[in-house]
Parts: sequence; C-alpha cells; structure tokens
Amino acid sequence: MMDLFQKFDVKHKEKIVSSWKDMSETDKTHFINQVSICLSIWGSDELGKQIVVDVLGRLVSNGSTSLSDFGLYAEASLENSMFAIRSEKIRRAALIVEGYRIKNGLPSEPHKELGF
Amino acid sequence: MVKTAQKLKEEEKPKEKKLGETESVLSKISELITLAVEKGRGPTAVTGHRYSEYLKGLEKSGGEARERRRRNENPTEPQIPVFVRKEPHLKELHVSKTAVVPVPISEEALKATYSLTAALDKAKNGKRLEWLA
Repeated sequence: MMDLFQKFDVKHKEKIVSSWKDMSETDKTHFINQVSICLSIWGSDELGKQIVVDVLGRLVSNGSTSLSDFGLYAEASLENSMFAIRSEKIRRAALIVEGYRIKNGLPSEPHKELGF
Repeated sequence: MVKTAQKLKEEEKPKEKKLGETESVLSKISELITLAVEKGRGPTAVTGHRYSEYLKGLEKSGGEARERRRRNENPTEPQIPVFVRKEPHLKELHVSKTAVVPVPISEEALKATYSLTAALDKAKNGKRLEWLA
C-alpha cells in the first residue's frame, strides 16, 4: 500500500500535523465533515484520496493555519491535470461544501497569521 | 394661571386628522383588527384584505394613496432588502445556498476520512505522517 503523503516534503507535512494539533474540536469536526462530503461526491477511492491530499497541500502552501479551511481550496485541485477526469465532481463538491460553510457560518477567507 | 382667549379657543378646537397620516392609518388598522377578531377570523388575513380596500377607498376619495406613492412612502415596486440591492453578490450566494442538494455521506467516505484523522492523530511530527491508500 502506498503512502499518499510520500510526495510531500517534511516541511509541508509538519505544517499539516501542527495545524491539526492546534485546532479546536469544532474546527476538527468541520474538517471531517467537509472531507467526508467531498469524498462522497468525488469518490473515496485512491484518486479521491489523492485529491484530498492535493487540497491539503494547497492549503498549507497558501499559509492557512487551520485544516477547517479545506472547503476553500477544494476547487483549486482542478488546476491539477491528474484530476481532470473528476472535474465535474470536484466542481459539484466545491459548491456543496460552499453551502455547508455558509450554513455553518464558516469564514470565506482562510485562517492566516498576520505578519506585522 | 390665566389663559388667553386665543389659547382657549385653540384647545377647544378639535385637531384635524388627515387620512393617510400615520396616526389615522394605525387607528384604522386597529379598528379593522378588532372587527376581524370580533367576527372570529384571523386578524392578519382580514386586515390585509380590508386594508387594501381601505387604501382603494382613499384613492377614490381623495387620492391620498396616490399621493403617498408619489412621495415613495407606499411604493408600487416590491420591497427588496437594502443590503441585497447594494451587494448583489449576496443574493447570488443566497441562491447557491438554497440550490444545494443534501448529499448522503457514504460509509466508504467516512472510513477514508477517519483513516486520515487517525493518521493525523498518530503522527507526532511531519516525518511520521502516513495515509495509506
């Protein structure tokens, strides 16, 4: 079985782990819900999991400090040609997760640390 | 205290109430509600109906309603919340929100998600983060 994070460098993985550890239980629940919705729509097979990993990579690369921002980056995975076959499903998942975020009052901007 | 004849005259004189003034409209509405309740009917529906008739009557008699519409106090166009008019994208958001179809979360998707969170819980640092396909 292959490790889906194997292409990630340690720095990115470290950011994912540390932001998970710092998240509140509520934010963890929102993360779980958003990932579950997306996997239900774009598929929970190996390719579906790779999309999740790609989204996580974009999230930490953009400086987000909370994995609960997951839904904000869901559509960005369309930029990866590897997932072109699931493009329609990715768009649908992004729309539904957007609805989930609005319904639960989640911010439309990612969590970021202000650098003064 | 001695009041002048002029002041006394003013006090005796009943104040004229023009139809269409807030006070008189409110008193008319209250009258209609009382009437509706007395007849054992729902006040809102009956007053809504009667009030429109009342406005029509005003229009026929003195054109007060027409005058108020001209002043935009009783506009003929439907009322749209101000924030939607100022920020039309909010209306779009609202539309997309209502268009969202509930998605049943599959068991496989939940299992996959929990395997990811278990991997995140297990990893003490970045080096040890592994999510097996």
